[in-house]
Amino acid sequence: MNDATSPTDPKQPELLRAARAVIACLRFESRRSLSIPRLATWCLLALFPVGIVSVFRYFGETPPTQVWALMLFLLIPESMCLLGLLLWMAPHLQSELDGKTWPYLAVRPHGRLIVFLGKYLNAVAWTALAGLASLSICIYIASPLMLDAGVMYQTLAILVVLSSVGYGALYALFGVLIPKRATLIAVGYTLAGELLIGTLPAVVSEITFQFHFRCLLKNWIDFTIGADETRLLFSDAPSWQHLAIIAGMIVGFLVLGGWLIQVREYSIQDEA
Amino acid sequence: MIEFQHVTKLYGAVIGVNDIHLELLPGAYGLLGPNGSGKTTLLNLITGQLNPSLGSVRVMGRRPGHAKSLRRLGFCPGYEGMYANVSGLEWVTYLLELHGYSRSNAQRRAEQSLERVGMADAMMRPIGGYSRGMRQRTKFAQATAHDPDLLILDEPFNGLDPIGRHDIGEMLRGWIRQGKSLIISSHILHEVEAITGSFLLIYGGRLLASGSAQEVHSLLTDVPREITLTTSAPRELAQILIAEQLVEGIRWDSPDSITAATRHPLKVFQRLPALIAEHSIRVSSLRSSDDSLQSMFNTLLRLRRGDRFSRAARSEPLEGASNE
Repeated sequence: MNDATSPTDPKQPELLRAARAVIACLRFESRRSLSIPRLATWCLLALFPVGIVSVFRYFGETPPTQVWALMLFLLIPESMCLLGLLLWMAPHLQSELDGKTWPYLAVRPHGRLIVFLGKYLNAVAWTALAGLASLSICIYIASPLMLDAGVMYQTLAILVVLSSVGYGALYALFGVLIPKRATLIAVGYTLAGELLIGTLPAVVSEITFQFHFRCLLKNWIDFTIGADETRLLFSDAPSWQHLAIIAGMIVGFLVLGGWLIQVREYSIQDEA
Repeated sequence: MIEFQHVTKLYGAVIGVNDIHLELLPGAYGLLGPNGSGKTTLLNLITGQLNPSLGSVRVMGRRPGHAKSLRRLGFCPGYEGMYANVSGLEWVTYLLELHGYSRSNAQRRAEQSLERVGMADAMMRPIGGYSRGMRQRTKFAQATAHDPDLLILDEPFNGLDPIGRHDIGEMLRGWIRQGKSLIISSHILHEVEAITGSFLLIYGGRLLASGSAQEVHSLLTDVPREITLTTSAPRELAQILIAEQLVEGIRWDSPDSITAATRHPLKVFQRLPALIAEHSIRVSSLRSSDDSLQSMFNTLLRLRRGDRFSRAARSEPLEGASNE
């Protein structure tokens, strides 16, 4: 082998090879995603918040800006992004096992970790793009009725990205932990953890992503919090603290998922 | 090259492989065993997709699945797991990129590899439209495109037509001629025999025997072979065969059928026509014992229980066949 970039070239750092392989996986998965069913799902996901916002805009009473913010927050980072990741992230490993492609990938150097990260980035990119597209149209529709549409867009756009990256990491971990039931577990967690525990006016809600996203929304849009019960749903902590906790959770989930996928056995159903 | 130290793999209560102790030197080996005998488990232990429940495996001096050993290994699984909507070229290029090649180098190598296996015209078409033989060729291309030192193939002949079998066989013989190592699993003896002369025989998760084809055949020379005869006079025929000292034992299968056990089947076949003519016995069918791998494994298993042989049991490293 005479290639300057041969994998046996000792001069080439291992990390560089791995990073290049992750990008290759992202590119390959993105290319595979360009199918009609996948694009139709993407459009459907991006358009469902638009439909609901349109109903409010044209047929309902005009809500105050805070209600718009809360509604868009629940519709896009907290619903649409979760749905997208349930479809594209949670079954990431099972789809390879079902398609019997896993052994081809797993016998490449660091192949398991590379595919884990590549598929994660792909799911995050698709979800975040759908979220941002949806948010852009929603803000465009609702902007005549809200104050500071620019701030609203900027805040929610950051939350869309954080939601995609955060929930993506969590669902990636579910996918590695229990590949066969990953989507089911992710749905269960979303309902029980994020929707139920996350909205409890108690300290336990702080373990959820939703709590921190909600607090960031409050901090950045400058919500006026009224009743004491409502106050318990938020925290007075500065934004950087919430961001640090979110980052810690993401890194933690990814490190745990990456470690598990390296050490665990995943075999094809009909192996002898 | 590969070392198994008393390796056992359990799937819950089911034994995948059982106390395999073996050292393989570089060379070409045929891993033979009936379906469900543990071949795929053994290969997955080598590639690091499975971890042993007991014992340890070393591949090229490292634990299986280590990046440095995976760089030198090419693997072709038994199943056709390939994405239907991508082309053969894209698939092989992608796998090379995962291997650490830059995109341009990966594409060039993928093209060369696919051309080598006769896929030059079809490499741009989606894999979903490939025939079984084309898929096997593509699988072979992805396993060899990075020029590995050790190639592992799991049942590469499955589902192939005779031409496909011949072509893959030729490719593998070419591979061995380059001095590269090979482990090929199959449940069909003659297909593997045509590629390599070194065998590992596995059955019920146990390594029953290992060695050259001659060594394996020599194990069977003292084993009585069975001949089943359908005749109008089974009792009379049995008496004649015993009186002529042609058989060691007779078993009645049905009122008109007997099975004779003999260490000299050729002698029986030579004498039988004259004997039945002389005694006016009508024989409507004659069937030699099943010569398949399954019956050979049954025999080896019986021998194993008697602890009579096995190079593996002697813990000697096994040298693979080489055409160098």
